[in-house]
Parts: sequence; C-alpha cells; structure tokens
Amino acid sequence: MIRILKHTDQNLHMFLLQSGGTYSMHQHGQIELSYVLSGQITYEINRSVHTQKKGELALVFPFQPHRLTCSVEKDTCVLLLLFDVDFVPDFEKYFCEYTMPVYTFHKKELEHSTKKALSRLTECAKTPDCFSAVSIRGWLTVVLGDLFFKHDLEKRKVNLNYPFIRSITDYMTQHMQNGFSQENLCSAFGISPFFLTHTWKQIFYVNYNTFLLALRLNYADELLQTTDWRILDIALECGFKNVQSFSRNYKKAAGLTPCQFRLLKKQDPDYLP
Amino acid sequence: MKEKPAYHFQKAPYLGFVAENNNCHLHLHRQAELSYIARGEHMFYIDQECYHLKKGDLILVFPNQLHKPETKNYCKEITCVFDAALISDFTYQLTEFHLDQCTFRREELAPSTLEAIGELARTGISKSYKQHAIPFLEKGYLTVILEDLFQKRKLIPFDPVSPSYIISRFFNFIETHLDGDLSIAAIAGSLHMSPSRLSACITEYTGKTPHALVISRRLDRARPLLYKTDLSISEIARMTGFSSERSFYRNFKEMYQKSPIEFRNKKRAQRRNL
Repeated sequence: MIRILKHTDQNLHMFLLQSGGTYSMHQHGQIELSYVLSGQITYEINRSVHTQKKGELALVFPFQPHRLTCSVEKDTCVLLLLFDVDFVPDFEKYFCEYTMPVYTFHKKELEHSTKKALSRLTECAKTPDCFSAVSIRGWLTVVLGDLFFKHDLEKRKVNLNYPFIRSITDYMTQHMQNGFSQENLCSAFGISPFFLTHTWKQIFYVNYNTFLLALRLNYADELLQTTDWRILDIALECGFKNVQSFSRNYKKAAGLTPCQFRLLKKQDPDYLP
Repeated sequence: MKEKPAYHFQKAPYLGFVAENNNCHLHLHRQAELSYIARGEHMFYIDQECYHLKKGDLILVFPNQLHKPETKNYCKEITCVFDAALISDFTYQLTEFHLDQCTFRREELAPSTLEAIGELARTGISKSYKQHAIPFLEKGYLTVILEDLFQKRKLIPFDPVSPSYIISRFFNFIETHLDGDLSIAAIAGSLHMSPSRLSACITEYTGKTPHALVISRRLDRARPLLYKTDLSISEIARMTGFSSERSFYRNFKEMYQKSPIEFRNKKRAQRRNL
C-alpha cells in the first residue's frame, strides 16, 4: 500500500535523519537526495531494494515510490534533501524528460568535488540559519552536475508536466467527497480513458485507483489530526461509501485503525504511521 | 588614463585559468571577472582606481568595467571570466548594480568561499563544459562565492551615465535586435541618448565604431548558419539583419577574406575529412 507524503510546502527541505527513523512506502512530486553520513539504511525504490552504506548517495526521481528504513543497531545519520524541480532550473529538463537507470551511487563513483559539496551541504543542514537557499542551490548544482552525466539517461515515455499534474491532483482533492467518477475527470481535463489506464502509470508509477485511494487516505490523515470529527464524517468527506470500507483500507495502509491513530497522535505529535 | 582600451570579444559563457605574472593591457568585456591571488602581489586598475592586492585577496570586476591587471614582482592568480546570464541567481545584480568596494581581504571570506575557489582552480577548464552547454560545476561554485561576496558589500545601482552602463545597454540592445533596425539613431533612441554622444562613448571605450560592432556581431551569427544549415545566402543575410545580399557578401569578405560560399564549402569539406 502506498502513501502520498508531502514533506513540506517549501521548495527545499533539508534535514538530518537519525537512527530508527523510517518512512513507509510513499511517493511525492519532489526530488529526494539522500547521503549516508554514518551507519547504513535500506532504500526500496521502485521495487528494487538497496542497502546504502556510509558515503553512498541515492537519488529518487519525482513520484517514484520509495521506502526508507534506518538501521537501529548502528549509529545512523542520513542527510536528506527534498526539493522541487524548479528549485534547480538548470536540471528541470532532465528531471522532467529523463529517468536514471540507477538509483544509488557508490562511494567510489563520486568525484572528489561532489564529496566536498556534500559535506558543505551537511554543514548547512546542521546550522540551517547560517546559510541561504542560494548557496545551497550552488552546492546542489555541483552535486547534480556530476551525477547526471555519470550514466546514460533514459528518455521518459511521457514527460512530466508539473502544472498539469498539479491541476489534476488539485481537482481530485477538491471533488473527493462528491464521489466523482473517471468520466468526470476525463471531461474536466479533456483527456481520454486511455490516459488514465496507460499514461497515468508512466507518470505516477502506480495505477489510477491506487493513487486515488492514497490521496483519500492522505486527506483522512490530515482530518484525523486537525479536527475532532466523527470517523463516519471523515470517511464520507474523503469519498468513502461507509465507515467499514474506510477503516479496512486505512488499517491495510497504516497498520492501525483511524481511531488508534488519532489517539497515538494526541499522545505523541511526532508519531508517523 | 592615456592608454586606449580594447574590447575583448569572448563567446564562451565561462573561462577559467590559473595565470602567473598576468599583465594585460587596459580592456573591458561583456563578462564579469573574478580574480583570486594565490601567491605574490598584484596591482589592479578598475575604472581609474588602483587596488593593491596581496595573497588571499579577491577582486570582482563587473561586466563592461574597464580594468587592467599588472604584476610588479611575482604573482599567481586564479581568474574566471563568466557571463552574467550564466549565474542565474545573480544576473540582475551583476548587470544593474556594482559594489561600493570590489576587493575582499582574505579574513573577510567565508570558509565555504575559499573552498569553492580552491575547487574552481582544481577543475580549471573542466570536463563538464566540454560535454555540455552549461558548465554546471563552475556555475555552482560561482553561485556560492557570489552569495558570500554580495552579502558583505552594499549594492549600488549603476550610474546611468557611466560608460560601462551605456556599453552594457548598447550590447544588450544589439544582441536582442540583431535582425532588426540597428542604425545608430535607432539604438541611441532606445537608450535615450543623442546619436553623437553614444557614438563617441562607444568609440572611446571599445576602439570600434558602433556600426563595426553591429556588423561583427551579425557576421558572428551568420557563420554557424552557413555551415550548419542549407539556407540560401540571401536568406541568411535577411535573417541576420543585413539589408541586402550584397552588403552581407561585402562585409563577410572584408572580415574573413573569403566569400560566404567559399567559407561554407571549406567548412563542409573539413567536416567530411574528420
């Protein structure tokens, strides 16, 4: 089961992830770059599992489903950088029109200049107030400038068109409770049913129904945390037909019922399913 | 200054080199220039003023500022010359402003800046530039350096009557209107100056008349069209803003001592042999 996580509204989010931190299977429109400073983590990107050791780097392209698990035994520290495509305009073309055949980069593959830039970025993450977005962009340009030309890129079958993607997901969120159908969506955007069955998967890596369900559960998550509505109201608001189907799907995705989640969240605001 | 300045045409968006005992005549160019003194001492003249630089100092020359590097004893410097448009985060600052003081002492520079300069020196003219249109690594380092430098100094808008500002506006205008009307009256009108003052200013600082500069930019643009496309000569002449095929032919021959067709055939023969 997949979630759609929006880590942040800013176009850049940078932090250090410590041992024990995990993210269940999720996807987002931002690009994720992770660099292991110590210990090791396990990354599952697009159904292939990688163990990432110290000094190795991983790059997750927009909407690729991925899961991140930090090992508990060792002292693990990971630099995570999440940024919008338009944060690095030079590479917008590459991110929207190509994908990379590899997701992780071995220590030996990285140039000396890249390692230095990464250590600068780590410093920026430790003391976020002392550095501006512009200098972070500078170092990031150095890192990406190296990574992108290490391997031959694969052309995407469908290019990412962010304004279109954004408007389509916005439409889906807004019309969630009306129980809209595929036909509504097709006529609102002038797209064909073929788009929903075939092109959709090229862009989002998952099929339309899975994506819609993830979007619904995401909205439910938000409502569970911010309101004290009854579960039934939340279920209807998110477009589920009844409480049972909402609870069943929620439990399948998060491992616990909506009610349990709400209680846990009240006790510990940092809790992540 | 009695010395006559020279205008340096440079096409590459980025050029980096390490020079020893750099002495150059008085010149100006479209690009900005960043110079770091790695060893020794250096004299630098910018716009009538003289700066004495010691080891570890850094100087930033804005686009179209007159400058002249001079070495007395020994000096090793790292210099990068780059387009303002390359550093997209600072294009506006570089073209519309200058700094209240353009030299920086070693103590002032942040550690990240020093590291970026070191990396720039190490890459030299790097691989990335040869492979791709944009030199990404250099762009990244320069962004980091300029971010630090601009924070430390105050930005002052360019004096609208200063020659460097007039020259930069002149080149911006001809770059964007190459295929249109570029008579001296039209250019002067768009810059809100009298034709004679503009002409005098350009000739004094670049050593060439505005007309000659326009022609050479047009021919620069025509050259790749000649060997990369199959367009007819009259079409290329029209696209690059020449009023007739004949004037294109005449100017081309004057500049390269070859007719356009000869140039095209020769270039193609060279490619075939490769």
